[in-house]
Formats: sequence, structure tokens, C-alpha cells
Amino acid sequence: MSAETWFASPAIPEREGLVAAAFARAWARTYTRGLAGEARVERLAELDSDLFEHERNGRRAGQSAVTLSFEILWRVVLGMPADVSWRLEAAQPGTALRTLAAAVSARSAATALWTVRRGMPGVTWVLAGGYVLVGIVLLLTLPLAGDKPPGERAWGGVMLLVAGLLIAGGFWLAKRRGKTAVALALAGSVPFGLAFSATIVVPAASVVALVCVVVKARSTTG
Amino acid sequence: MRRKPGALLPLEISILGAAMELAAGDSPEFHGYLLASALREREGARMLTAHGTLYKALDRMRKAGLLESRWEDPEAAAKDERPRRRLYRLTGAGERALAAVAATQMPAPAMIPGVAT
Repeated sequence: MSAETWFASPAIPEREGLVAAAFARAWARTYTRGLAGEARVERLAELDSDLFEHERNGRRAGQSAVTLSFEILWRVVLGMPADVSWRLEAAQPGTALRTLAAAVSARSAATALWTVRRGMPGVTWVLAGGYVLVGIVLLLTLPLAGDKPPGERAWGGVMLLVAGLLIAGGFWLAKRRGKTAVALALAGSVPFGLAFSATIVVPAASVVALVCVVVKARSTTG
Repeated sequence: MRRKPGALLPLEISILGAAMELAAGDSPEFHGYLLASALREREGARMLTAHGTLYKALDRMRKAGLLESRWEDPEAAAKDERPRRRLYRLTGAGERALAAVAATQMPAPAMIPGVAT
């Protein structure tokens, strides 16, 4: 019997899951990819159980889907650094990932400092700036839209512009109003991150931007 | 910065304390979400511990022998129509580690509720 079969729970009926829970599972599948043995299956099964209990208890307590989604996303995003660190530790000796982990570990302090001070804010500004820039270009080129309905193009432009401003606003506010900043960053980064999930780059940049704002907000509020 | 071998992180101390409280109640075995809820309650936090932080700590503590775990009977999970739970239990080594922390953090037994003094 395979590990996957052993952990499967066939008696569980199909349930309407939250998108946030699906995101949590997708993230877990991503960072556990290539993991040898039962470690991957066990981590996925354990997370699945946690998400199920979280959702079920929340619904029983009368929590709305929005509140539950926010809580789950919060837990996923804040746990990402630990997930990545756990994954690097779990990598098999001799693999590229383990070599990378060793290299990163050797320069961990400098790497972490650079990532927090330069890398993450850089990606956040590039993402926000990119959204704003593309939004402005879309709006300015409305008269040249040709046979496409301009309404669709205008909506896209406005949404990108707003998303960029929300992310930038979140980053700017992070040190003063942590919760507002995280809410703005979530609103700005998640929709397009999900909409362009196939591009890999946009969702990855969205996650980095979100983590960056959360880290900045937490470093201030403690 | 690397921590000293054998030294416990604040989260690990909290987990041991919460596990002791759960065991003193009616939950000698606990799953991840139950533990996260217990931690939130005892810390007075608004949010649950992040998945990655929690499960990485549990994995580390299990390997260190402070906790032991087993996967519950699939029939029990099927009966409740939910995924199987991984159940953790505090070990003797975990209890001793918590008692040692309590002893070195005097006067702070109140910070680790459930520790017999």
C-alpha cells in the first residue's frame, strides 16, 4: 500500500473548501515537492487535518468565510519562512537543494539581512510599480483599443492601478498601522496573484510582497 | 545565530506547557489544530500559530524525544467524516524539560501553568 493510499480518507464527503485553504494546500504541495519518503505525505495529511478542523470549528463558532479565510491566509503567510527552512533541512544530502541550503546557511545572517532589507522591499516596489505602470498604460491606450470593448480594458487598467496603490500603501503604512497595512497588501496582492497563478512570477511576487509587509508590520508591533 | 544544543525556544516551552495543560484536562493526546487553539488561549493571542511555525516546532520536538506521535485509527476519522489526525503526546523527557525550565525561570511558575511545583 502506498503512503498516499494509507493516508487517504475515502469516507470524507466532498466539501466546499475555502479558497484560502486551497491556497494553503497548494503552497504545501509546492514546498514539499521532491521530498523523499513519507515526510511529504505526512506533512500534507497533517495540514489537511488542521485546515479541516480550523474551518469546521470556525463555522461552528459562527465565523464568516471572510474571517476564516483571513485567519488561514495569515497562518500560511506567517509560516512560510518556517516551511522553507523546514524543507531545506529535510532535503536529502547531496541534492541540489541541500547544497543550496548549505550555501545559504553558511551566509545565513548576511542573506537574511539582505533579503529583509533589500530583496523583499525591492520585489514589493517592483510589483506595485508594475501594476500601476501597466494600469496607466492600459488606461492611456483606451482610445487605441481597436475592436475590443473598451469597458473590459478600462476595468483591467483601474484594477491594476488600484492593486498597485494598495500594495504600495500597505508597505508605506506597515510601520504605523500594521493591521491596515496587511489588509491593504492582502487586497492588492491576492486577487492578481490568484488570477495570474499560471505565470508563477506574479503569485510569487505577490507572496513576497505580502510577507514583506507582514514582517515589517510585525517588526514594529512586536 | 545558532541556539545552544538542548536549549528550548519560547514556542517550544509554550507547546510543552500547553501539552501539560491538555494532559491535565481530558486530552493526553492532541492534534495540531487543538494545540494551536490551546496556545492561542494560554498566550491570550488573537491569531492561531502559523502552520509552518507550529509543525516545524512539533517535528523538531518529536525528533528530540520531547513529544511522541501516532496517526489515529482511520476508522475513527471516517466515523467523524474528517481527515485523520496526527496525535501527539508529551513524553517523560518533555515533562522533565518543562520542569527544568520552570526551575530555572523562578519566580515564573505562573508563566507555565500546569507545571507541578
